[in-house]
Amino acid sequence: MKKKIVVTGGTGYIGSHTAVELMNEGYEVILIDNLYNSEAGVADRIGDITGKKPRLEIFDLCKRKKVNSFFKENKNISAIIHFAAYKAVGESVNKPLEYYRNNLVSLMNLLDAMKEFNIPAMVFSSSCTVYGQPEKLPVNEEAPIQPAVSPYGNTKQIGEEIIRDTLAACKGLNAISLRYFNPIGAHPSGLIGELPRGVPENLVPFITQTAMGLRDELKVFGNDYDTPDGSCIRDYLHVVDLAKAHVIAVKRLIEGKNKKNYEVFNLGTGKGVSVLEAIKSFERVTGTKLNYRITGRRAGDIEKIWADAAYANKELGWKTVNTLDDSMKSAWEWEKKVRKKTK
Amino acid sequence: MGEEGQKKNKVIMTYKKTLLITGAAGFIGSHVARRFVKNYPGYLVVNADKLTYAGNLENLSDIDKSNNYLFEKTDIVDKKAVLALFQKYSFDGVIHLAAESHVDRSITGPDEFVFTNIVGTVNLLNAALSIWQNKFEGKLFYHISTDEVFGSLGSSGLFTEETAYDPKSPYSASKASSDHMVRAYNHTFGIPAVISNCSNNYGPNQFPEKLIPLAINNIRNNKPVPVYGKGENIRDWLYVEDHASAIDLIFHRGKPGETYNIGGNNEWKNIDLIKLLCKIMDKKLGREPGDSEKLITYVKDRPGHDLRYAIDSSKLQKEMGWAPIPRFEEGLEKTVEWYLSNGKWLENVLSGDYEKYYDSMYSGR
Repeated sequence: MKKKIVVTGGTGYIGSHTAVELMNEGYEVILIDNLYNSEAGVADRIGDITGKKPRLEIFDLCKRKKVNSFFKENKNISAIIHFAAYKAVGESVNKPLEYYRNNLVSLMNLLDAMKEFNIPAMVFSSSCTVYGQPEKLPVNEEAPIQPAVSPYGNTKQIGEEIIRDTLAACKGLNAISLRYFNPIGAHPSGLIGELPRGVPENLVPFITQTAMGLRDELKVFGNDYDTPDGSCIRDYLHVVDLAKAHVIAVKRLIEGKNKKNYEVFNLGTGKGVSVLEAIKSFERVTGTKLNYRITGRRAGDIEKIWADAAYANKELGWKTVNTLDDSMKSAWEWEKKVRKKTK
Repeated sequence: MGEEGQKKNKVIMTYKKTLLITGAAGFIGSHVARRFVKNYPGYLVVNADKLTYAGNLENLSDIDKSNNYLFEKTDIVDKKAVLALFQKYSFDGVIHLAAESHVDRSITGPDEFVFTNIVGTVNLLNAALSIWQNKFEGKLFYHISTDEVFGSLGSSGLFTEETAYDPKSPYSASKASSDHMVRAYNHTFGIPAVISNCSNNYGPNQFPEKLIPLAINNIRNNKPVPVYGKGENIRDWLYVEDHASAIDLIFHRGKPGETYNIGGNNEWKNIDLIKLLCKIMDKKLGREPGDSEKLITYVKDRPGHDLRYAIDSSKLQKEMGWAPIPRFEEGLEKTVEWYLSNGKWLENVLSGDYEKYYDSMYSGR
């Protein structure tokens, strides 16, 4: 029988790509989303890609009663992949309570449900923001957790702690936290991708929107950092590579191959790329000249970070296969499809 | 406290917002209402609809039983009824979609367009003003309009939010007039209002007098498919669910006093569109390729037929990150599939049986 996996935030950017990879591997997928930041139509698109539309349940995971009645009605769930969260760093600074309430209450409700309904496994969507500005690069999983710069980042840190402590107290529960570096790009079908609401905070959607003419210029925040070209360095990985890591993590938990009941993995390419290099890659693969301008640093940005993904490479047998150019190309294809130019 | 008072109290206490959607039994309105009822369980959605020929409660049968949805049969031209509705629910937000919308009908009978579209809008504005009493915090009057208020375009260029109004048909003149009233109330009385102007909508539940469902229905029944003039007119087509997602964003993030254009970035000559539709229908009905195209019949053009509408929605895309999602061919296929698998709906609206549906659902309630 097909193993049943619940994907929260399943119509979101990473959630939708993960749902596709899970279904390609033969899992049955149920999406949960409150559509706060995504469209129900994404479930149709997943269906267009995989040949079968996954079930979508629309409700808010902060509503304890809804969560419980969902799991009461849906038995034999093998694992939860928990993506659902508010994710805008800048917004979180202005709305800290909303971020803490939404990101933490939903997680706690799910953990409660796992205990009550005997769901043995969770894969948690965490972030490299937990490392702050690491002293040693590349950064591995042993690096110290640093005080979070934003409420958003803090919800990921606290989220990990809540999971760790809950697992320590409850036998039979297992979880893996995946600390992503910077996911970019879109599905090769061009049917799903990143569609940020409002003005994007992340580099790649800003690049593609600028190239599309939606934005006048791209601001590069600072070129006086202690990096070879002075711009910030990040580790950009293709969202499909990232999605595949979730399938592996779920399988690891279901098959009981995990070494401890709580594990943490970095997911990145292992290669740092500067903002200016990212821009060059985009210009190279698309043949489009970007209108960008160097401006002052943006508050809250760390200087440089990239992953030591050796542990995930070895333990999960996972590594990224798409290059930066691949990712940029797919991001551009998606942007073009979404904003098909009018005559 | 009387029964009414208790009910009202319950409404106010239970829900974060009470929201009036006018014309929610209509084509676009039903998609908007469905979205709000499903995505915002904390909102009470009240559908005020007159149930003209274009309004059909069957469009909402899937949310009919939802706790946070109510129907109030209302003619917005009836000033007293509108005020009573506002008094009953103390709406925090209004999304105003109720309108006469078919250009051909506005040519044969403009009066109805003046009453519903202009007088109806003013009645709603007055009721909102009298209930809100200058306490505008958290309130919004959102008026839905059309890009036809901008008149017609030549072969290039786009309507922006800055384009001067130049309506050409009684329909578009009535919508332009209502837009002006909404802006004037915003300016004069400070009522927080936003407007959006959209291009041609298509999708499930559209009344089969409009180009796409009419063509689908005629092709299906092997009847001639009328095309005005040479079919050279160009329209931008917006999938109705994309329109609903834009309305959702504007309702929550729009700035009072502002206008937003909503378009599909999707221009088609009528004749090319009909030919594409014929191709899709051939496939779906298992006909020989080219069979349906033979049904195309050119008819005398509509008087004052605007050549081209095209709309620049970059303000909305820039400020709110909105984008129309489905590709046209796909959206069109979905629409065709919907009409083919909802033959009963089509028959009902064409025969007037939807009135029976209304009676069966609502009489004696």
